[in-house]
Amino acid sequence: MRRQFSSDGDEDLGFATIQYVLGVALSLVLLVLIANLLVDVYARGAVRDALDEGVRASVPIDAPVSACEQRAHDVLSDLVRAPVAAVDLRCRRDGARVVADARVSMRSWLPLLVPDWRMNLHAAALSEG
Amino acid sequence: MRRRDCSGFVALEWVASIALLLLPVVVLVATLPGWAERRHAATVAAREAARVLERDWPNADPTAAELVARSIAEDHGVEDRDVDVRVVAVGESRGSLVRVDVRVRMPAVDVPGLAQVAGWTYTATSTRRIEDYRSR
Repeated sequence: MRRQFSSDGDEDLGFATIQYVLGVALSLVLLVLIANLLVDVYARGAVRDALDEGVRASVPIDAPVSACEQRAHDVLSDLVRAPVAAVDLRCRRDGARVVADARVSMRSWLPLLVPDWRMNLHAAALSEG
Repeated sequence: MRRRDCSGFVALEWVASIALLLLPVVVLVATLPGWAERRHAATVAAREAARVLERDWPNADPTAAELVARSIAEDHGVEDRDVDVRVVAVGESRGSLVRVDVRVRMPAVDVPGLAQVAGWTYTATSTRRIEDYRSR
């Protein structure tokens, strides 16, 4: 059945109004930001895990500090890659402890709205012996 | 008149959809990863505190072990007031056990910088055995 439109156009009042389109667009932007946050939080957890694994690798007696960086890089390459997070990590001995520090930079998916997320993460473990 | 009746229809839907769909999603996304991180922080903190007690046995200082646990929890982004460290056993003799419990508060809703509501406590336990022929 064909619908007849009135001449004053009242019945054409929009479902797809400007407000609706803007509303949907803003909602989708918000969804992208949520997804970005989720991925960034995952990456942060992955870097923390990598640092923990790294310092644990240097815990045994005579284990070199380089074992920490090697292990941490191995874990990182399994869990999170460069496009998601740029990680600069270093391991060192601090007295009886092995310490790992990482500078992490996570790129924003919407750089015009939200800046990159940068953080410094840290892990430490007591060496054996 | 009819035109006025229709006004605000879309805006109302949008606000409702934000409130009913997007905000709960934001809260979930902000909260769920925090639970896993806090659980991990408690586990690592308990493990390292127990290792300190074992290494320093028989002169282990429970306060030092607690400090180590708190510092590790802080490294994982858990605030000091959300952590409770209990040294349950320091290993009385060779062959006995060292045990540390770390309790971390898990917020039911945690939006960083905005709200932390209700919650429960997760307890991580680490136990290590003092070697049978350990020298003093």
